[in-house]
Amino acid sequence: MTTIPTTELFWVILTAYVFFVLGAGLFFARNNQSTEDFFFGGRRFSWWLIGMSMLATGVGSHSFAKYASKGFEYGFSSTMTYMNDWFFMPLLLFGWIPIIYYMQVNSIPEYFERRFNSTVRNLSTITMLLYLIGYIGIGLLALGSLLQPILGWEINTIIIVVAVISGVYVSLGGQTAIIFTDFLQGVILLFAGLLIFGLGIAYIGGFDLFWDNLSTTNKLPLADFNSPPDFNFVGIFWQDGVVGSVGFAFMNQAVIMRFLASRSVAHARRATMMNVLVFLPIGTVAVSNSGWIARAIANINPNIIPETTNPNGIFTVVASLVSNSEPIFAFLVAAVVAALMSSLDSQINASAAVAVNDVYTPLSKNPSEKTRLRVSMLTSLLVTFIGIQAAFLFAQYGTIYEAHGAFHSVVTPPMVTVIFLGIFWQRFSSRAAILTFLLGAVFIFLGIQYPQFFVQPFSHGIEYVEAKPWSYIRALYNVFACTTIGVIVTLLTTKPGKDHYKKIKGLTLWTIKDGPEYFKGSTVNENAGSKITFNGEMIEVISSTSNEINLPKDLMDELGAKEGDFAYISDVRWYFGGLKSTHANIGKCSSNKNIQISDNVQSHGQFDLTKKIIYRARIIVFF
Amino acid sequence: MDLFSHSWLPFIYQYGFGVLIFGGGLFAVFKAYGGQQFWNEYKIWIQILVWGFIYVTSIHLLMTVSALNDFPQLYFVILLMYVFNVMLLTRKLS
Repeated sequence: MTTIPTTELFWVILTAYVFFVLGAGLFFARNNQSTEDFFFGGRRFSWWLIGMSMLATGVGSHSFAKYASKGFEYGFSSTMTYMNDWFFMPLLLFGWIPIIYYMQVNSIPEYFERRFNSTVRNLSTITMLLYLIGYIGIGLLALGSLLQPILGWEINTIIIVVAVISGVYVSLGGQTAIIFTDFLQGVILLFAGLLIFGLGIAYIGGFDLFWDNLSTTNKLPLADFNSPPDFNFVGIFWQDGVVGSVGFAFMNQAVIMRFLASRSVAHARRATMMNVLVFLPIGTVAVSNSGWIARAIANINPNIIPETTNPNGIFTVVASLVSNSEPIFAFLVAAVVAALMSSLDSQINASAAVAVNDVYTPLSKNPSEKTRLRVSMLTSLLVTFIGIQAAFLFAQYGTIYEAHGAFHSVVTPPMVTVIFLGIFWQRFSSRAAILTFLLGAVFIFLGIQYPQFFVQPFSHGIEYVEAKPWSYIRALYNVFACTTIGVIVTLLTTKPGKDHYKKIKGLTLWTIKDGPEYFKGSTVNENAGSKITFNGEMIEVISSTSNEINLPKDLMDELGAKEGDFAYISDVRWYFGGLKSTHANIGKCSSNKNIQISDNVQSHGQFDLTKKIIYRARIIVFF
Repeated sequence: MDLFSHSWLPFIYQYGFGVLIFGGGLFAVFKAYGGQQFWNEYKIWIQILVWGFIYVTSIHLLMTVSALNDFPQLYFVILLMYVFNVMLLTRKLS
């Protein structure tokens, strides 16, 4: 094995980065007083923090391997997958996000129990855990493959070291540590991706030479309609553009937890828009461009990057070629580590959330919040350990991406179909949901066994390859099979009674207006959205275990607030991103001119009133 | 060399289905929130949603035209649209 030479400086930079991440875990550990904090960061963060964190979750080390390799082989069409998420935005922003936020759904399996029944929850818990742990395993293995030529270690050693670091800081810091480190890691990976592009262009000799040394097909943004079988437009459109996009936005527990960590539905919406329209376009260039640079260099001089170069390692090859100094190379490597860590931490935390929320809590008898928090931390470590085993398992296969892709295409369609029909069709029944899972799995299996009979009608003329028959377009068949089962079973079962519609209030698009009332627990205030800003010296902390704030009458009138309203109180400094803030109920009018907050509210909102720096705060009436 | 199956055919297919999914979703949301009330309450969000669709379509359109006509200057238009997005989404939305 050839190792890329490195000096002490390289190791200093990499070690400093690792210690920084561990330090963030320890620093934010003090914020975790409950599982609400551990998994959802207290539901208080701003859109810009959540948006960048979503990008960092979506872009993993496997992205640098996968999209750079496709960029090297096919050019700009490597960006296809990242650029077609917008079609689902109306349904996501105004359907799914308000449903899970207002109805306080903590996990997808929990949604399934409330919308359907416990059997559907159990089925989805199993598939969800398999899905998330599979992701952890593939991420670890991809990073091991990328770092092996640099570190020269055994791949299993790299997997263990990275997993231990991530497992420790996630177990300590929870969602708050993840969101803040993800923000920084997101910035690092975007900057590194653009840096390698700039260095690559300079290495080639300017943009004109880069452009002129790519063929017309290299420069087209979409792949050829139905060929070759391993990279064609129509297959990837259905696999990644439709099933993958819906799976990521609607089903991925890590993303769901980002929505829930937002301080409001409006912030979750804005974070999503920001992610798709602003961060993702740079992200796609960041992960793909080393492949485009490699393609241009290979076209100019095949001796520098031969056509036989392994496309999966093209990022490392280009990084070592174009970076002209040790610190820059170390920074580029740290960016790939950052990409992995930022995806891995989210998946570990998400798996632990599902394990605690959907396995431990239903099985145990009313565990205390302290016990649940301890179990959450231990579960994060356990999930990391299982993820390492999954990585070892994937490592035994020659074609890990295909193995994971096949696994993904089996797990995602039934879940996505049940979520979609569940949200948009009130009549869609529990029985139909169960059969969509079970019969859907049977039909997916039949499609794998007899592709020429089942998948061929959906093939769009893509060539049949014995070893990997219609590996992408089968997603269309899988979705079609699951949807057909769901629709037919629902239509064949008796129409549910009025009780059913009462039970699913707020859980479907058509009952979405009931959500805010459910969230608040009483009628929504018509003045919702009004806000006041005041000097921090007006705050008086009173000893109380309640989650209340008491305002003087004139401020109550100014806000149009009533006792029992739900409010958001925050430090006005935007750069905290909501770290110093919390939600609270408005209590009775205060007996003096002060704004009285309980010590519970103070500690949760981390308002340090002893410091002169906290001068102004803001209250927004939510409902 | 016939590049139709590599350029306009996938473009038409993607945005054909795209319009159906996006338009269907928007229609369903309008119905669920109660038409005029939805427009009054979320006007700015709906405008951004429609703009976002135009933006992603334009990226693919401009990249395709640019590749077929060897005209990389069109990437400046994409860049300008991107800057507009940043300005749009970082301003105060109510």
